[in-house]
Amino acid sequence: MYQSLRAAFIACFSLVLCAILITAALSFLPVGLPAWLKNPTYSSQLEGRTYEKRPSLSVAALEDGSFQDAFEQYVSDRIPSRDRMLMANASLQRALIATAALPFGYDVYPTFYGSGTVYDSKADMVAPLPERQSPKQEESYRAAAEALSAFASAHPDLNMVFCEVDRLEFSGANPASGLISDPIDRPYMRSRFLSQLPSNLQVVDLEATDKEAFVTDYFRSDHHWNVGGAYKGYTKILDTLLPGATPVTVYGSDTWDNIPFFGSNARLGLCEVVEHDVITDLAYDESDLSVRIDERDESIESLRHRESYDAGAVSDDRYQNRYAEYFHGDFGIIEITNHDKPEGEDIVLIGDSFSNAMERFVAEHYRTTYVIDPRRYPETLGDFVESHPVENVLFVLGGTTYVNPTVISFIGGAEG
Amino acid sequence: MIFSSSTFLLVFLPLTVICYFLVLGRACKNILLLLASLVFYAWGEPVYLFLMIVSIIVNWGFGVAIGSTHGPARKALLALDVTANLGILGFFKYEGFLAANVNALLGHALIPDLQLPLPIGISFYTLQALSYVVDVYRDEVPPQRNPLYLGMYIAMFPQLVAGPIVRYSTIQDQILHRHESLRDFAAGARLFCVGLAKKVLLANTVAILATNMLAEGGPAIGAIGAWAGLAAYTFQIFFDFSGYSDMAIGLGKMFGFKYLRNFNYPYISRSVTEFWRRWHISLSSFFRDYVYIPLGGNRVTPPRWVFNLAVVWLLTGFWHGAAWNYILWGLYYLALLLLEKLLIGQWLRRLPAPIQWAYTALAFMGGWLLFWIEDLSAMGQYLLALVGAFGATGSSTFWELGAWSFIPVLLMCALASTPIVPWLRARVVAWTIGRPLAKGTFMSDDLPNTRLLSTDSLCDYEGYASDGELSDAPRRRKVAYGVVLLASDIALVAMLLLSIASVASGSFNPFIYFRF
Repeated sequence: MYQSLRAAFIACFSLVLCAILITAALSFLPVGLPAWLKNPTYSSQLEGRTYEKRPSLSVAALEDGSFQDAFEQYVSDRIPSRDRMLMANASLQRALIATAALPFGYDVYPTFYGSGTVYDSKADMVAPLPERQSPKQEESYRAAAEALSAFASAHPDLNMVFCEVDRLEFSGANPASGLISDPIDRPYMRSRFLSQLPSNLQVVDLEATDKEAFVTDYFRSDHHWNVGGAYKGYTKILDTLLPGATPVTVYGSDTWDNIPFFGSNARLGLCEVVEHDVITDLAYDESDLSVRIDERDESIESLRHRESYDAGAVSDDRYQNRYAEYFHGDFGIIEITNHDKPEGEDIVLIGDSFSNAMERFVAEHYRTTYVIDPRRYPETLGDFVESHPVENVLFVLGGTTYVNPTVISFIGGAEG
Repeated sequence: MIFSSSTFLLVFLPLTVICYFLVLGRACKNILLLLASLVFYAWGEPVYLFLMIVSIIVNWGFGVAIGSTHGPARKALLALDVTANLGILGFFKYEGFLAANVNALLGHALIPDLQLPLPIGISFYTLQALSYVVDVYRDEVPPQRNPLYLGMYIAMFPQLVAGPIVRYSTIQDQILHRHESLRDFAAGARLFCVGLAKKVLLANTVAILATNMLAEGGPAIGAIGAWAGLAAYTFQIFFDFSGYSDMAIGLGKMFGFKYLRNFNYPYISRSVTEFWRRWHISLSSFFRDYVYIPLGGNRVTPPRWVFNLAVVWLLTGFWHGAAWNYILWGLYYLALLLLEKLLIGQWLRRLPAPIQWAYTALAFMGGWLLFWIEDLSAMGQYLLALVGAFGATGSSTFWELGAWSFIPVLLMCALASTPIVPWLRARVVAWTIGRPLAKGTFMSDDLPNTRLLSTDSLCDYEGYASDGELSDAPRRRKVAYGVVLLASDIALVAMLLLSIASVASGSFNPFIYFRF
């Protein structure tokens, strides 16, 4: 009995420890490995990064430890079924945390030990932990307000609207918002930032009225709004930007239920919500739009991949970022020309990824809509408006984007 | 390289084990272990590899010279070797501390602070090397004439980074005459899994709480956060350190070495004296045999005895780190041990066991507070938080402290700090083979052989019951016994997988030996 137990244990122990060596060796031989044993891709959607390549050895890299660090990551990345393993590890920890939460009656708890995200078991929602107020953050708000003020005072002839989207970090809808002392919340941001903006910069505050409204307009596992939320935001913006204009008429919606979406909060928190999110798009009569992305001609499909989704031509990676896959990733500049509109009024939309779901609606009202992601655009906003005859400037930014030093330089750079 | 890394677990260890059992001949196996150990060391500290090699050559040379010399020259050689070892250790470990304090005292920079990074494991391998040369001097062991074998002993990767401090006398016969067996390999692998799980699943998890509480500081966390943080650190340091020791002993067993036990459930101690008989045994016994007894031990006048103890505890504190808090920590234990030996020892033994445990727990937690927080003003704030000066939760909410979420892990740690597993195992074995059940609870259980600190019974299933005993047991019981052993192995492999998952996911993995 001892002998067989001993042999079985040694076999299991060795197999586990040698898994990487064995799979690496097998990959050189003409034998097929089962899919679950392979680490099939060169990147992880779950972790949002490219896997480490085999580092090249050099004396300098050995001396400063960079080779060792890269090799450690390289080995970790070669582990078969790495994504599943990470999720399983976090799930076990979450089970312990959920057990601990029971006697205290907490529905909201960290997604794993040391996690910066929380799971709301009642709402089946994953959210980032709110940040606490700090002098550093206050200074960032001041710098952002100063940059916007400088731009606005340098361009008094422009019609400017600043729209703050409701990011869950700062929202009253965040399930952990009442559980943290001195969080950075919307009232705090209003007093430190929005109230400091100049009067010629009109403000649209898209704060969700309550948690229910937030859950309707935003994904439960992602930090973005869904297309319904984007449309609502667009109608509010339109009221300020073009008073009296009629928003596009929506006559239906399409939902791809068979394509599960685990958003950024779920991926970051290694926590799958029970009822996964899905991508929805609105049905309306699109104008004749042409698109250029970073100086290349593209089709309208590149702004919303409706045909691909209808055809099921989507990534089979469970943790694919569907928001970016359906709409698009972040680009430096997108130029949308509406051929149904006469030459004349143009707009530049300064937006982060939130605008990816909304830009098509704005483009219905202007001949040319420039969409700039300030984190990826090489020039300053001042340079852009000098070289492009736009009459309107629309900012659609979340609270983590406009305090980004790159964005502050983009907005206030030329004047600063 | 550290044990809780993917590089070690998935590349270094499998390759080393495969090569070790592929090469034939004791000499080749020993040289392979030396080379593997040097690679292991160079991976983390390529610059200091030369220091390790110098240490090996110097100690080998002195060992051979002392072994072949008689008379006063022998003593002079020993003094030279001790000076060389302590000089290297002092230069790399204490130069910055000395410079900071001397310069602060004088008001000008007399000694330059070279800001040397501490060579990993230098405190451990220096003590091992010293013990070898002193034992040669005392004629307790013959000098090792093969520098490669001495190199293997000093640099041996299992115990290089965090101990245990293996004396040459323990393994001198095993260098050439050890016997590798599947039985020892399985027992060693099991012990390695246990140690890895202790480090990765328990120590690293509670370290998150401890680190958060310390980073937030006393005013932000209040009494609940402060006690939770201190409890978390108490478990972190035990499971980190004893986990490393278990891994080292387990790895040694896989290669046929038999190291002595380093931890014996210290947190069930009923006095501080007992605690130090169970905590980091290889260090306590080193200082006992190479400092305390040579100074005269307790067979001297009372003032001299106190002096001897003071020297030992100052050295113990200072060995752990070049900072004042470590010296304070050493003096704290000196005071507690004197208190027990001179005043309250007898009285303490007459108290109910729970009170003895509570007293000892408070004592070692107080010690860990000194050990943990280097910044004395932060320590003061933390102390104030412990006594409730900042309220129950400080400026945080109870939820935000997060201590509540660690309750299941802290409970697991508390259980795992006791010998409940060997106690249960002993009961299962006794039931199977019809042995009478030992009296007492799991809190009063102890090592089978405390004097020899044997590790033979650790994770060695064959050692639990002999074939003869088992053959007389009814079939139903034998099957039940087999199921229990199989379940244990399944649990160990699951723990190994979980540990690898945790390591590979880049979870919080603090390395607490950078000061040692």
